[in-house]
Amino acid sequence: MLTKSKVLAEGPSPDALLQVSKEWQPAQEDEVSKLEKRYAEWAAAAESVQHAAAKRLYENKDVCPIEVRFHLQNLSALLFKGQNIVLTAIQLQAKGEVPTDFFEAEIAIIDGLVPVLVSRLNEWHGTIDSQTDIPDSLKKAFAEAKAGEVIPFPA
Amino acid sequence: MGKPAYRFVCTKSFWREYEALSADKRAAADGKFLIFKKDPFAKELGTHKINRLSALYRQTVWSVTVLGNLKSLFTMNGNIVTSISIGNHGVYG
Repeated sequence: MLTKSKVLAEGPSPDALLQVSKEWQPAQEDEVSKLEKRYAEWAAAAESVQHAAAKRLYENKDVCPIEVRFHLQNLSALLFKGQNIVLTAIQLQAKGEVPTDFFEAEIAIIDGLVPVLVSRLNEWHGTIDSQTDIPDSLKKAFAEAKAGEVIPFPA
Repeated sequence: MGKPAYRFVCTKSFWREYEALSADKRAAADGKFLIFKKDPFAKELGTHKINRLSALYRQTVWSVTVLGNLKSLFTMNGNIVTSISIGNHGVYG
Protein backbone atom coordinates (compact mmCIF):
# COMPACT_ATOMS: atom_id res chain seq x y z
CA MET A 1 0.00 0.00 0.00
CA LEU A 2 1.30 3.41 -0.93
CA THR A 3 1.45 5.77 2.00
CA LYS A 4 0.63 9.45 1.67
CA SER A 5 4.28 10.42 1.86
CA LYS A 6 5.24 7.86 -0.78
CA VAL A 7 2.49 9.12 -3.09
CA LEU A 8 3.76 12.67 -2.67
CA ALA A 9 7.39 11.67 -2.99
CA GLU A 10 7.10 9.24 -5.85
CA GLY A 11 3.96 10.43 -7.58
CA PRO A 12 3.25 13.28 -9.94
CA SER A 13 3.38 16.93 -8.99
CA PRO A 14 0.37 18.31 -7.07
CA ASP A 15 -1.07 19.83 -10.26
CA ALA A 16 -0.61 16.62 -12.18
CA LEU A 17 -2.10 14.68 -9.26
CA LEU A 18 -5.17 16.89 -9.43
CA GLN A 19 -5.51 16.16 -13.12
CA VAL A 20 -5.06 12.41 -12.54
CA SER A 21 -7.67 12.49 -9.77
CA LYS A 22 -10.15 14.34 -11.97
CA GLU A 23 -9.85 11.65 -14.59
CA TRP A 24 -10.35 8.85 -12.08
CA GLN A 25 -13.14 10.46 -10.05
CA PRO A 26 -16.36 11.84 -11.50
CA ALA A 27 -16.91 15.53 -10.86
CA GLN A 28 -18.69 16.23 -7.57
CA GLU A 29 -22.14 17.62 -8.17
CA ASP A 30 -22.95 20.86 -6.40
CA GLU A 31 -25.94 21.00 -4.02
CA VAL A 32 -28.13 22.97 -6.42
CA SER A 33 -27.60 20.49 -9.26
CA LYS A 34 -28.31 17.61 -6.90
CA LEU A 35 -31.53 19.28 -5.77
CA GLU A 36 -32.64 19.98 -9.32
CA LYS A 37 -32.05 16.34 -10.18
CA ARG A 38 -34.00 15.18 -7.13
CA TYR A 39 -36.87 17.49 -8.05
CA ALA A 40 -36.97 16.13 -11.61
CA GLU A 41 -37.10 12.58 -10.21
CA TRP A 42 -39.85 13.56 -7.77
CA ALA A 43 -41.93 15.21 -10.50
CA ALA A 44 -41.61 12.11 -12.71
CA ALA A 45 -42.53 9.87 -9.75
CA ALA A 46 -45.55 12.07 -8.93
CA GLU A 47 -46.87 11.55 -12.43
CA SER A 48 -46.21 7.81 -12.58
CA VAL A 49 -47.56 7.15 -9.08
CA GLN A 50 -50.81 8.98 -9.85
CA HIS A 51 -51.11 7.09 -13.13
CA ALA A 52 -50.49 3.74 -11.42
CA ALA A 53 -52.94 4.57 -8.63
CA ALA A 54 -55.68 5.36 -11.12
CA LYS A 55 -55.04 2.22 -13.13
CA ARG A 56 -54.36 -0.24 -10.31
CA LEU A 57 -56.65 1.11 -7.58
CA TYR A 58 -59.23 3.78 -8.43
CA GLU A 59 -60.35 2.18 -11.71
CA ASN A 60 -59.43 -1.45 -11.05
CA LYS A 61 -62.39 -3.73 -10.36
CA ASP A 62 -60.34 -6.46 -8.72
CA VAL A 63 -57.85 -4.86 -6.36
CA CYS A 64 -55.75 -7.16 -4.19
CA PRO A 65 -54.68 -6.06 -0.68
CA ILE A 66 -51.01 -5.70 -1.67
CA GLU A 67 -51.98 -2.96 -4.14
CA VAL A 68 -53.53 -0.98 -1.32
CA ARG A 69 -50.20 -1.16 0.50
CA PHE A 70 -48.29 -0.12 -2.64
CA HIS A 71 -50.61 2.88 -2.84
CA LEU A 72 -49.90 3.78 0.79
CA GLN A 73 -46.15 3.34 0.29
CA ASN A 74 -45.97 5.39 -2.91
CA LEU A 75 -48.13 8.27 -1.74
CA SER A 76 -46.25 8.45 1.57
CA ALA A 77 -42.93 8.40 -0.32
CA LEU A 78 -44.07 11.28 -2.54
CA LEU A 79 -44.98 13.31 0.54
CA PHE A 80 -41.70 12.47 2.30
CA LYS A 81 -39.45 13.10 -0.69
CA GLY A 82 -41.31 16.26 -1.65
CA GLN A 83 -40.93 17.80 1.78
CA ASN A 84 -37.30 16.67 1.91
CA ILE A 85 -36.64 18.66 -1.28
CA VAL A 86 -38.46 21.70 0.13
CA LEU A 87 -36.44 21.54 3.36
CA THR A 88 -33.16 21.20 1.48
CA ALA A 89 -34.04 24.26 -0.63
CA ILE A 90 -34.91 26.23 2.52
CA GLN A 91 -31.60 25.19 4.12
CA LEU A 92 -29.65 26.31 1.04
CA GLN A 93 -31.45 29.65 1.22
CA ALA A 94 -30.67 29.93 4.93
CA LYS A 95 -26.96 29.30 4.23
CA GLY A 96 -27.02 32.14 1.72
CA GLU A 97 -25.88 29.81 -1.03
CA VAL A 98 -28.87 30.61 -3.24
CA PRO A 99 -31.21 33.58 -3.74
CA THR A 100 -34.23 33.90 -1.44
CA ASP A 101 -36.63 33.02 -4.25
CA PHE A 102 -34.65 29.90 -5.11
CA PHE A 103 -36.85 26.94 -6.09
CA GLU A 104 -40.01 29.00 -5.47
CA ALA A 105 -41.96 27.48 -8.37
CA GLU A 106 -40.89 23.93 -7.53
CA ILE A 107 -41.83 24.38 -3.87
CA ALA A 108 -45.26 25.67 -4.93
CA ILE A 109 -45.80 22.56 -7.07
CA ILE A 110 -44.69 20.22 -4.29
CA ASP A 111 -46.84 21.97 -1.69
CA GLY A 112 -49.78 22.09 -4.12
CA LEU A 113 -49.78 18.31 -4.29
CA VAL A 114 -49.79 17.85 -0.49
CA PRO A 115 -53.56 18.29 0.03
CA VAL A 116 -54.30 15.99 -2.93
CA LEU A 117 -52.04 13.26 -1.54
CA VAL A 118 -53.29 13.67 2.03
CA SER A 119 -56.87 13.50 0.81
CA ARG A 120 -56.18 10.33 -1.19
CA LEU A 121 -54.39 8.80 1.81
CA ASN A 122 -57.40 9.44 4.01
CA GLU A 123 -59.86 8.21 1.38
CA TRP A 124 -58.08 4.86 1.09
CA HIS A 125 -56.13 4.41 4.30
CA GLY A 126 -57.99 6.41 6.92
CA THR A 127 -60.84 5.14 9.05
CA ILE A 128 -64.42 4.61 7.94
CA ASP A 129 -65.51 7.14 10.57
CA SER A 130 -63.26 9.84 9.10
CA GLN A 131 -64.90 9.69 5.65
CA THR A 132 -67.24 12.55 4.83
CA ASP A 133 -68.99 10.77 1.96
CA ILE A 134 -69.99 7.66 3.90
CA PRO A 135 -73.40 7.92 5.56
CA ASP A 136 -73.52 7.66 9.36
CA SER A 137 -75.85 4.66 9.12
CA LEU A 138 -73.19 2.72 7.20
CA LYS A 139 -70.47 3.79 9.63
CA LYS A 140 -72.64 2.47 12.46
CA ALA A 141 -73.23 -0.82 10.61
CA PHE A 142 -69.49 -1.34 10.11
CA ALA A 143 -68.84 -0.53 13.78
CA GLU A 144 -71.40 -3.17 14.79
CA ALA A 145 -69.80 -5.75 12.49
CA LYS A 146 -66.33 -4.97 13.83
CA ALA A 147 -67.57 -5.33 17.41
CA GLY A 148 -69.17 -8.68 16.55
CA GLU A 149 -72.64 -7.32 17.31
CA VAL A 150 -74.48 -9.59 14.92
CA ILE A 151 -77.75 -11.49 14.84
CA PRO A 152 -78.96 -14.35 12.64
CA PHE A 153 -79.60 -13.36 9.04
CA PRO A 154 -83.32 -12.97 8.10
CA ALA A 155 -84.66 -16.43 7.18
CA MET B 1 -65.79 -31.23 -2.98
CA GLY B 2 -69.12 -29.49 -2.22
CA LYS B 3 -69.75 -25.83 -1.58
CA PRO B 4 -68.74 -24.59 1.88
CA ALA B 5 -71.39 -24.61 4.61
CA TYR B 6 -71.83 -20.92 5.30
CA ARG B 7 -73.20 -19.42 8.48
CA PHE B 8 -75.18 -16.25 7.79
CA VAL B 9 -75.38 -13.40 10.27
CA CYS B 10 -76.12 -9.68 9.97
CA THR B 11 -75.72 -6.49 11.91
CA LYS B 12 -78.68 -4.95 13.73
CA SER B 13 -78.37 -2.04 11.33
CA PHE B 14 -78.81 -4.40 8.39
CA TRP B 15 -81.95 -5.83 10.01
CA ARG B 16 -83.41 -2.36 10.67
CA GLU B 17 -82.64 -1.26 7.10
CA TYR B 18 -84.23 -4.42 5.73
CA GLU B 19 -87.36 -3.89 7.81
CA ALA B 20 -87.60 -0.28 6.67
CA LEU B 21 -87.66 -1.26 2.98
CA SER B 22 -90.90 -0.82 1.04
CA ALA B 23 -92.91 -4.00 0.46
CA ASP B 24 -91.80 -4.39 -3.15
CA LYS B 25 -88.14 -3.87 -2.30
CA ARG B 26 -88.37 -6.27 0.60
CA ALA B 27 -89.94 -8.85 -1.71
CA ALA B 28 -87.06 -8.35 -4.16
CA ALA B 29 -84.59 -8.64 -1.30
CA ASP B 30 -86.22 -11.85 -0.04
CA GLY B 31 -85.87 -13.38 -3.50
CA LYS B 32 -82.20 -12.42 -3.75
CA PHE B 33 -81.48 -13.58 -0.21
CA LEU B 34 -82.79 -17.06 -1.03
CA ILE B 35 -80.11 -17.23 -3.72
CA PHE B 36 -77.57 -15.50 -1.47
CA LYS B 37 -78.00 -18.10 1.27
CA LYS B 38 -77.27 -20.88 -1.22
CA ASP B 39 -74.27 -19.12 -2.74
CA PRO B 40 -73.23 -15.49 -2.00
CA PHE B 41 -71.32 -15.50 -5.28
CA ALA B 42 -74.13 -16.79 -7.49
CA LYS B 43 -73.97 -15.13 -10.90
CA GLU B 44 -77.45 -13.56 -10.65
CA LEU B 45 -76.40 -11.58 -7.57
CA GLY B 46 -73.72 -9.63 -9.43
CA THR B 47 -71.46 -9.93 -6.39
CA HIS B 48 -68.46 -7.62 -6.64
CA LYS B 49 -65.76 -6.13 -4.42
CA ILE B 50 -66.06 -2.58 -3.13
CA ASN B 51 -62.40 -1.61 -3.23
CA ARG B 52 -62.40 1.58 -1.20
CA LEU B 53 -64.59 0.20 1.60
CA SER B 54 -62.41 -2.93 1.63
CA ALA B 55 -59.29 -0.79 2.05
CA LEU B 56 -60.88 1.26 4.82
CA TYR B 57 -62.34 -1.76 6.64
CA ARG B 58 -59.10 -3.75 6.14
CA GLN B 59 -61.14 -6.67 4.90
CA THR B 60 -62.80 -7.44 1.59
CA VAL B 61 -66.29 -5.93 1.41
CA TRP B 62 -68.61 -7.44 -1.20
CA SER B 63 -71.70 -5.90 -2.73
CA VAL B 64 -74.76 -7.76 -3.97
CA THR B 65 -77.28 -6.11 -6.28
CA VAL B 66 -80.73 -6.50 -4.74
CA LEU B 67 -82.82 -4.32 -7.05
CA GLY B 68 -81.53 -1.49 -9.24
CA ASN B 69 -79.40 0.74 -7.04
CA LEU B 70 -80.35 -1.15 -3.90
CA LYS B 71 -77.27 -3.08 -2.77
CA SER B 72 -76.41 -5.27 0.17
CA LEU B 73 -72.89 -5.30 1.61
CA PHE B 74 -71.29 -8.31 3.25
CA THR B 75 -67.92 -9.63 4.46
CA MET B 76 -66.62 -13.16 4.93
CA ASN B 77 -64.58 -14.59 7.77
CA GLY B 78 -63.97 -18.24 7.07
CA ASN B 79 -67.45 -19.67 6.61
CA ILE B 80 -69.20 -16.79 8.39
CA VAL B 81 -70.97 -14.41 6.05
CA THR B 82 -71.82 -11.11 7.73
CA SER B 83 -74.32 -8.84 6.01
CA ILE B 84 -73.38 -5.33 7.01
CA SER B 85 -75.89 -2.98 5.48
CA ILE B 86 -78.47 -2.61 2.74
CA GLY B 87 -79.01 0.69 0.95
CA ASN B 88 -78.77 2.67 -2.26
CA HIS B 89 -76.04 5.22 -1.46
CA GLY B 90 -73.27 5.51 -4.07
CA VAL B 91 -70.64 3.95 -1.78
CA TYR B 92 -72.58 0.66 -1.77
CA GLY B 93 -71.22 0.08 -5.28
